[in-house]
Amino acid sequence: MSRHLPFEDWIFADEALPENDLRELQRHLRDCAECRSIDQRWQAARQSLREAGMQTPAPGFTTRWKAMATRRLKTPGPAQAWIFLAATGLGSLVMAALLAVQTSAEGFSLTGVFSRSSTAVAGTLRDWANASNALGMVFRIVSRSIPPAWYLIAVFFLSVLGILGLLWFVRKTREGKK
Amino acid sequence: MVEIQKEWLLSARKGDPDAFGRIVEAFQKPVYNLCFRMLGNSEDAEDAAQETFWRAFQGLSRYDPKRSFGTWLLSIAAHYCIDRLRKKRLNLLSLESLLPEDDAPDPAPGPENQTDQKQGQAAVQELLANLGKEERAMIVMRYWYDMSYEEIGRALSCSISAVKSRLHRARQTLAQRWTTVHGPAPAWAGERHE
Repeated sequence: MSRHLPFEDWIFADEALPENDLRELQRHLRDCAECRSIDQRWQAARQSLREAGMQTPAPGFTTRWKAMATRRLKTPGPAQAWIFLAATGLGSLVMAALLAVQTSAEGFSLTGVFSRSSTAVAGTLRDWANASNALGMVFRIVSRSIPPAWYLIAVFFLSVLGILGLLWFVRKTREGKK
Repeated sequence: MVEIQKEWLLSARKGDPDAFGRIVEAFQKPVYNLCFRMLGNSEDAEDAAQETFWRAFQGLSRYDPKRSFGTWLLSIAAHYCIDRLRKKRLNLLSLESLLPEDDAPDPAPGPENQTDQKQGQAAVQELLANLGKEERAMIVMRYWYDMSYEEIGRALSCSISAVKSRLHRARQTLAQRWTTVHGPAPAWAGERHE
């Protein structure tokens, strides 16, 4: 065991040492130049920390904080970006579902689509009570009347829109933080 | 540590930045000082202190009123500074960047005193720069804010024994580095005063 133990520990002890330990340490410090040097350096370092005082921010810190907080509160947060992304993603899924309905349907023709559309419109005008049925019909008709390529284009467009929107929100959020 | 009024906190919790502004006013000095001691220059300290208050404002609902508000704020500041140092990998702080800027707000001492103070502050910062991020935070909390081991442990999310051993190591490092930074320590008078 080192002959400097437990004195090294006592030198760096933060709490006041018991009287006996303190006396023993003082005796050791008189005899041991190495520990004495450590003790001197630590006492000096501790004193410089204690005397360093508090640093203060430049005047107007609170005003600057309020301005920053107001700016950030106006900036859309990440949650809003995720909502936007989810909405466009959902839109893409709906388009994909419509595409699936159309591709699985049989006997597709433009005349039939026109006829069904006219019936649907007339039905809606005649009887508002059937509005929900008519809407369902319109949904089916629309799904069959648009060429499949358009769905792909719409899905692609919505995806790009979603990504661009997300990038915009991220940029805005970063601007707000500055 | 500064105390705050409950009404300020209640209003701030409702999302009013003006109400929180009073808290900022009351705590700007301790928070800024911690950031300065951690990061070593006034520009980074200002950014970090502003960010600390913003994070506190955003996370007020998570504050436990049974705990000291000041300790909670310092905990946010310390974590933020540690993260920032980790990202920037700032291990050594340049002496030049530590020189305070012209608009230092403290009561103006004479030019000679100012120079002494600048040198003293720079030396303290150089000394602190020898410590690891967490150890630096612990030393600042202990010697500038007189926080207990328990409070430091809670603020930095570590055990009391970890705080004790790391502070011990930090003190050893500071003592070792003292001569390099300041030259020989003052002559020992023969008696150790506690």
